[in-house]
Amino acid sequence: MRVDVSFAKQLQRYGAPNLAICFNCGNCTAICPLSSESTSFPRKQIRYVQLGLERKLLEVPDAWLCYYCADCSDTCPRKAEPGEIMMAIRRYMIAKYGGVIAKWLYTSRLFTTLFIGLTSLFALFLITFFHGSIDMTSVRLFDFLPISSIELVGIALGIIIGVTALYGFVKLGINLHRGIPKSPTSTKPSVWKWVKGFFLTLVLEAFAQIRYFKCKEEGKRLRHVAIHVAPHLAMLWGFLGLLLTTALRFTIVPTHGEVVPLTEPTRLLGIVCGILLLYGSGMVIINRLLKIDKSDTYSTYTDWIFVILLFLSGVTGILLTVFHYASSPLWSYVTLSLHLIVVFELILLAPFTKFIHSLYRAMAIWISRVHGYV
Amino acid sequence: MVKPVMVVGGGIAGIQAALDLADQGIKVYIVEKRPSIGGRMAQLDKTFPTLDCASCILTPKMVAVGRHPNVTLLTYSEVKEIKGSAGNFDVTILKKPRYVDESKCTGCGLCVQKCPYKATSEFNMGLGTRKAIYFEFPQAVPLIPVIDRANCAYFQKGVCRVCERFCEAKAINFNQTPEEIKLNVASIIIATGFELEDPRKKETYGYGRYANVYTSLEFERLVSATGPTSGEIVRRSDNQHPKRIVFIQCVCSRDLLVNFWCSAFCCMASTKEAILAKEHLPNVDCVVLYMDIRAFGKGYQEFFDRARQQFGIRFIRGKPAKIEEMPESKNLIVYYEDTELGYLRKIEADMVVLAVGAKLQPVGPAINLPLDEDGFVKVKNRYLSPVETEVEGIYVAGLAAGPKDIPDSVTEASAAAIKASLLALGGR
Repeated sequence: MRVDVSFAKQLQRYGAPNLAICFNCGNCTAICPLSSESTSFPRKQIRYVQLGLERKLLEVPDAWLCYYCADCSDTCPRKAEPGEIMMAIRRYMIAKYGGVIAKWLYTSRLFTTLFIGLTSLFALFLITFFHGSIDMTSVRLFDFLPISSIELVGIALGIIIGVTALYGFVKLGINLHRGIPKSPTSTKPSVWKWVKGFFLTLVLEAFAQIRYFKCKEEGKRLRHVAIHVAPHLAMLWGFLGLLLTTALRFTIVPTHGEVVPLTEPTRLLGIVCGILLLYGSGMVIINRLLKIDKSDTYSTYTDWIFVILLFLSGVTGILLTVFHYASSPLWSYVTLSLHLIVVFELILLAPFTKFIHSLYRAMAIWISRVHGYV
Repeated sequence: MVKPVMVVGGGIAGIQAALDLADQGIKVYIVEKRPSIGGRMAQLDKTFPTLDCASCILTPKMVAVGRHPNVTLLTYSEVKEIKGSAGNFDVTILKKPRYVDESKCTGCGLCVQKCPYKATSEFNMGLGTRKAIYFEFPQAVPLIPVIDRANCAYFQKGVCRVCERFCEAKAINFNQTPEEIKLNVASIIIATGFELEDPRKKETYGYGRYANVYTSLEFERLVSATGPTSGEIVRRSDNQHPKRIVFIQCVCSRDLLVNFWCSAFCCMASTKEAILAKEHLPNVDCVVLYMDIRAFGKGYQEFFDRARQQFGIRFIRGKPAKIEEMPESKNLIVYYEDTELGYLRKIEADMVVLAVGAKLQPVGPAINLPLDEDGFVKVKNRYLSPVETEVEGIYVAGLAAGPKDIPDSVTEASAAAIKASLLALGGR
């Protein structure tokens, strides 16, 4: 391994503050509520960055075990913002595993603007030139945009994005696996352990996010849960719920764009989840605007894009429902188009931006669980 | 004509400066706000790097300066006003009432013995008690007690006068009033020293909340033979000997959230304290948690090596983030990362000693000197005039100018003395 001092500079492009001021006292690791004797972070990560040990950095799951409560940043005797350095490492890893598009998205505002601008125009172009009949007397959403076209675009996009996401996901997994220390006494985890670990991770970590709850010193935990954990969970559950309703709409309980009673289960689920998504993403935006905690202070444009897209998808979705129920054809068609463009962007950007953290974090925790680190 | 010099502060720096001036035939006034000269060094048990007894070095100097024909001790006094300029300062000094006539008192100490009232001892850093009429410490110079008005039954309730009754020299005088002394001096040396930063500022270490967390100066008093336990190291919570003492370095020092500067003496002081603990309790386990060991002076590296090799003191690199107290045993769990191994560790300690950083002890409103960004007295030029303040004719020595050890304080004191003497002798 060679020391590469330029690596720290490189990481600064992903939002890491000045790393050189850290003198490795270890306060951050010792204050961290999630750090343990088997996985000690964030100081070790910072040291890897200072020394430019990129491979080492990519082979340990620690960056993804951190939920950024910023206890470390609040108490750092050097004000080196260790929490934000961890955040920058996560951004860097997303860029690393997302190929050249992700790298450019994270490092060039111009590219990001062009990419989002052009792809949105492309979606608008598709809607403008390939929409169906426009009935101005009553709202007929799926005559305006036939389900078959939405499905076609959705499936095509889904495959491309899915494969890309899977590629990053697997690559992360392989790298993390390579980093597991091999000692003569350690045995390979059984298949059963992997399966069990997978489901435990899915339920406890991905859905319930139990580690996020523990991520703050005890005295301030309640506030932390109210300000950070609750909105995050609302965002997650809102999004997953909406994904579920959409899937149900296209499979088990299809409609043809007609108005269904508000009490209809999928409709109700959709509205509740929409509100959850709006509340969650809205709170995150407010927190970041007000810089309410250290963890909300340093927002890069890539952080903003993700949360704003989530918020917009919620806003347009709710508006669409309102106009639909208010029988306002023109506004319904406009909001449907906007909603689809936002969702298109959200899915398109998923493997290249912050969205993918959901998968990467799960992978890292899964591997750490199976090997008994957490 | 030879004019006098005023030295503010009667610690080791002030004493050295006064002696160097007085030996040249210059009249010196030492203004000391405590009842005795001696300062911080008097509170120390041993000195690094030789483990010599601090009092054995200091007390002969205290006596020498106290008896010097050219030195006037103005103890229990504070500077009220400074006017004029270099070569011609008009100084007003407020001498607080001791309620003991200095000209009559023989220092027999009978009054102290008989006094029925107690108060916490400042000299022992709040550990242990003293009487309401008290000597600052047994070797005090001048050896004249002082009545602490706030804790004296006569002043508070109007009855008692036990000390007066027993004083054979009839030295007790409850009617003493503050006295103003006016002096004209050629130059002034500021040697007011330091105080420890408030360790409560580092909240996560729990000083003040956890009984068995001590500051370094408290520990110095604890191991000292003249201390509250006569040198017995026992815990505040249960009076038992500790089995493991953890020393934490850089508390409120080198910490941008409190004080950014290095306090210079703590590395060696804690090393010394760990050695003293081992000497008092051979089976005690001493662990020093540090960020860097700065063994900069002559013999310091050897001292550090000796602590590890001869005394088996463990030095582990890592700044602890927090301490938790165990409710039953009052033992302490210290959380730190062993940064050389890269793993989080928890260590259980019976006693924790915080090497709390130094800051300027306020020099008082009368002395209005420009301060550096670290709050210590600013010097004109760090390299070429390290003892000259920005006010001509006023010099600084010892820790008032910044953290340093005893040898450096003494060196500065002599340097300040020669500078001050130039004005006193009319050479400038």
